[in-house]
Amino acid sequence: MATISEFKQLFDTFLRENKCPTGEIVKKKYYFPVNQLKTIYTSMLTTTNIQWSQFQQMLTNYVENLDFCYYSWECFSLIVQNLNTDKTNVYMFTNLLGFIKIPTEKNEDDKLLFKNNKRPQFKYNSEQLKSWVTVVWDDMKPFMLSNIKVRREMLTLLIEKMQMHLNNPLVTADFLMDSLDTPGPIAILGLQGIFILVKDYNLECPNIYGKLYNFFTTDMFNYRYKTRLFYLADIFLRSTHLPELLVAAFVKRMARLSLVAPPTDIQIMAAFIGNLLIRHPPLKVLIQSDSVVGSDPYIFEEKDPLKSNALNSSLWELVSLKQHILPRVGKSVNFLFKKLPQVEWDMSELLDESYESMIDEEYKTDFQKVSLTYEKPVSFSVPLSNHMDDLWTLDD
Amino acid sequence: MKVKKNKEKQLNPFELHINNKKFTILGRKSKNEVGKPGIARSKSIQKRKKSLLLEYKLKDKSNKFVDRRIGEKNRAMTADDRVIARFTASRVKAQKKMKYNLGEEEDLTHHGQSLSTIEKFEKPMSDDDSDSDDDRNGGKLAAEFVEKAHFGGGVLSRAGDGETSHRDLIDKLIAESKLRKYEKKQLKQETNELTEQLDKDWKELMPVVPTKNRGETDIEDEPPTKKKVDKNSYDILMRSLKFDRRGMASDKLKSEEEIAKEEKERLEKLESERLKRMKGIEDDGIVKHRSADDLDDGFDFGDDDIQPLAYNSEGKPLNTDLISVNEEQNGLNDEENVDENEDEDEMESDEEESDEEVEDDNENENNLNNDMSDLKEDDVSSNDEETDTFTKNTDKNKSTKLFAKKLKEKKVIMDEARQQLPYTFIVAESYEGFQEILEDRSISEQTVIIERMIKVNHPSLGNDNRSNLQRLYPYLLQHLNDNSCSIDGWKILNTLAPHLYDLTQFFPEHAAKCLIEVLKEKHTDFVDSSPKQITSDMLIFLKLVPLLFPPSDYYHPVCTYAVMIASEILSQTKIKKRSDVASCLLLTTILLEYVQLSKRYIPEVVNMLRGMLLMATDNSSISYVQQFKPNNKILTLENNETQTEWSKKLSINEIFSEKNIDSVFKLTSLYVILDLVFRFSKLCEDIPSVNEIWAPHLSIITTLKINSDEMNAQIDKTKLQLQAIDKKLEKLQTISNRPKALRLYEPRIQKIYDGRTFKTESKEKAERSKLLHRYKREMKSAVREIRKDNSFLSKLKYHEQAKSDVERRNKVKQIYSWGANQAHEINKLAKKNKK
Repeated sequence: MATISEFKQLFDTFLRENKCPTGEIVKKKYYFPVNQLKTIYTSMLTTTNIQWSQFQQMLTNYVENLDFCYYSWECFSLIVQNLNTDKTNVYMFTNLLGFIKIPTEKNEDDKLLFKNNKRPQFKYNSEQLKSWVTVVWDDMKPFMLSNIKVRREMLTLLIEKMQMHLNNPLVTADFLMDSLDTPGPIAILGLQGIFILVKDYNLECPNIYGKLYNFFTTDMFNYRYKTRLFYLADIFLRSTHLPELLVAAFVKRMARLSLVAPPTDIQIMAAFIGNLLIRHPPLKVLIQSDSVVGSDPYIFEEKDPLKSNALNSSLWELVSLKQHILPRVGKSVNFLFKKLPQVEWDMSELLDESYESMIDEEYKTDFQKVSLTYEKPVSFSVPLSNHMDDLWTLDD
Repeated sequence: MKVKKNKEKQLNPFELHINNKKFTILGRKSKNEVGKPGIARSKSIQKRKKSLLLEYKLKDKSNKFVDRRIGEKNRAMTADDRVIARFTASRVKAQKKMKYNLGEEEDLTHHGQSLSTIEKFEKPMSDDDSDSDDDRNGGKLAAEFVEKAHFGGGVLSRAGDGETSHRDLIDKLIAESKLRKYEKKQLKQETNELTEQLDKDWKELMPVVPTKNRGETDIEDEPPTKKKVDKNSYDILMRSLKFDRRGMASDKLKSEEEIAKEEKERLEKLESERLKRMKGIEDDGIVKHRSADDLDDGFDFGDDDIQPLAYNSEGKPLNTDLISVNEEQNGLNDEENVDENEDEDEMESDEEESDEEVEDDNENENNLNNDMSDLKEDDVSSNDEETDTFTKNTDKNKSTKLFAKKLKEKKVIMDEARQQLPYTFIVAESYEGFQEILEDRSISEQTVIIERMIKVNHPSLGNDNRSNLQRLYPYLLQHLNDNSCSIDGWKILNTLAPHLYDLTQFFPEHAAKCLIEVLKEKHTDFVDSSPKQITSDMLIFLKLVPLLFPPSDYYHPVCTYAVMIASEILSQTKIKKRSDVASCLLLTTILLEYVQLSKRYIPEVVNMLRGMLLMATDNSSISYVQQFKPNNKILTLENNETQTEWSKKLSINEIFSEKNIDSVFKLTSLYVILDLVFRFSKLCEDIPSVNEIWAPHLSIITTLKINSDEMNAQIDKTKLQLQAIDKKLEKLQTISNRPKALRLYEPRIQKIYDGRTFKTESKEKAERSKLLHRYKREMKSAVREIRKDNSFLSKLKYHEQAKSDVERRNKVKQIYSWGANQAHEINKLAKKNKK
């Protein structure tokens, strides 16, 4: 148990090290009181009465310094070996990991906390750093499997910064594939990790498109990482060398989903479908054909995109959406009835929209004239309609 | 002559100049093939003689004398002709001046004096006859006098009498003339006095006579008459009379058929406009229909379509079912009118304004009330008419009767309320004041109060009634909001809706802004609340919007906003309790009303119904959508629960209910859900992927097994509706492929080919070089002309010089010859003398 003032004191003593170092100064080695920092961190993790945001405030001054971040990771690698769920707050640790960035390289203008011309200069050793990060990652694994919250945080951390600092990033593939198969938002994070591995480390992942295809379900609109999924799918489907059958399946899936999606997502998906049609000209068969079919040949429930029979279908869903109650959604599918442009639409600005932003925007629009109903109501039910009177009564 | 003409035509070939062409170009007419230098030169000389020569002659002369007397230069005219011509010219000139002087004859003159001035001389007559006589004679001497004075012996004949000499006669004449002058003066004075009296009387009468803007004239006219009679008063009076309002021709009374026809046209037009807006075609150019009786105050009667009381050939009314209602209403309205007359009287005494003005107002208001009562009648009939024309509702008769019955009941209640309340209500300055007025009143009484408030402050009555009503509008909304936490809010909405409708017609934009603000507030409340729940106030306002504004418009500032909010609420609210289910179903029903005409598609509603159905079954094959989770099965019926009594309608009270979900509620809400599925699927039959949309619902409904006949009937009905949607889908062919024209390679044709190549220049530069070229040409031709002028002048000067030289030489010769003669004679004399 410790209070904030005690922590401040600890930091003060830590800083005093710069002027009067207490530890021994080894030749040719940059002086940094790693042990003191480690004690500070350990005490941070064991206290329960102080919020993370308060620590965050304390640390903001130091994280700008290159050496502080660098040696923090050494501390983390030391701490993680003795991490214990009983005594320490693992979730807090993930926060800490997320807050302290991993320095990529040393620049001349980087700030140093313990800079002293008399002592040896700071040297950036990427191998050293990588080994520390790898140790942290390896030792965090058991916690990740037991705690879903920690797992989510660690996945985000992995994707955003740790992956490129591991000794061998490919070792995470197993873990990422596991996450990919777990239902829910974690899968999207796993997908992103896999994507990085595929892109940067030549990982060959079987059936990655099948997995991506199965992300597109009715549940996806409730996901926290919905926009990340759209973003990733856009990147995955960017290649023009993908088989038409596959892309058609994606197009059809999204079209079908747009029938039950919220308006902002419909807009995103409509733009996405439009982009795919531009990217893959053969897909125009989906909007340009003259045969008649009894019902939609596309099989929505089919897990394998190549067997979904999407190419024989047509995009009736988007035509239906022209009837959507919101005019902006109706307009978003207008591209079907015009000549497709050469340049794709920019989806990124649509990704951030939500119900609230849409409603706020609508609130701000100005209007001059307002049309009125011309049938005077006699009660609260709309004239010429019997819905309200048939289904509801004012009596008890 | 003939010979001469031929001579002119046949030019001497030596006088021609022929321009040889190198190439003959088809279709080109060349002007300058043959030149005639001789003719051209003589032409230019003639031209110069007319222009340059004249100028030369007038050189250094500042003025000249021009004789413009008519015919002076014309030698063919004789002196008499000239005089006649001049006289006619002067008469014509005079005539011109008098063209518009219709009243006056031309002024005749005698010896340069106008005859009228001559006639002004005193008449040399001394008759005793009345004025009328000499008026008739036109100033001539009376016959008697003439006889006495001029004829009949004259002085000699009277000499015998001896009494009256000629001198006496003249004296008498003078005296009489003086007397008459005096009498005339007297008469004139009297007339003046009488006129003044009349003026005075008129002014007294003025205020009684109604004028157009009486108030203003009162203020303007009265002070000058009392304080000072300024010289403009006559003018003012004259103008006020001049600009007095005149009787205007009014339209002829329309027959019933005409009125009915007009109404039909008006409704058709409104409907077509609505359809246009629904399809999203913007058309602001259309001016709204305005009746000939429109007061131009922006007041829209909305539903003032009149059902004509038509009779068939046997003389029986065609629409009998309406008549009873109408008659009753007439009775009621008459009473109402009486009431309102009284209430206006009260208002007048309160307001203490000038009597006349209030009377005027009163009249207006009476008329207005009559109008309004008429309108009320019409509402009843109009609704019927519209059901006839626009909906294919099979049970319209039933609903009409029901409606009429309802209306009667309502009328009775309202009438009771009417009798117990004061008649005037002023719109309070603040909401607190407004609340005080409505405090401790029943809902029907509140409605009457609000109704009267609107009537008293009708915008057509002028003043600042419009702003009063604009103030009232937010109060009403706030009042709704304050009462929304119980069923009362809905009852108030039920009765207040027509009045809010009326108010909205007065100021649509203001109303729209108010409602948008309210909706915004409700939206922020929803976003901030946790857990997210639908509250009654949101529902009330979302319910209100489609009553006032057309939800069928493709885009409407209020309705689209409301729909956005509704769909967000519907997709994000948490459903856990009985009230949640009821509110969701109510909101779904409200949204059904929004799309009932436009038949648009709302995914949130479809998802909501899917989720609700899933809550009622154990079906696990259908995926969950929106906020629904598999563990939330609050509507699932146990087998033993189906034997209870349940109604087919949900009570709005359920949205306030805190009770647990019982089997009755489950059954009723399931029934309502199925009904909603039925209604929605029926609405969006036309959209292409309707099968895909309702497939999950259908599969859930087919697994529903409930031991209740009524419920099973409903299930079957819905199932049939969903199965009946069997569409043959045509594959999309969105862009019509127009055959692309082959690219044609035509030879590049240069515009003119004459050996020169044209520089390709920019537009400005080409323009400039063109202008420069033209300038050069013009300059050259000008210089040439000047040169020719100079040669012409120098020739002229030379000729003059030569002429004067010849003259001088002749003179010199003459003088020499004189001199020689003289010398010769002198020599002769000398010789003589010598001899």
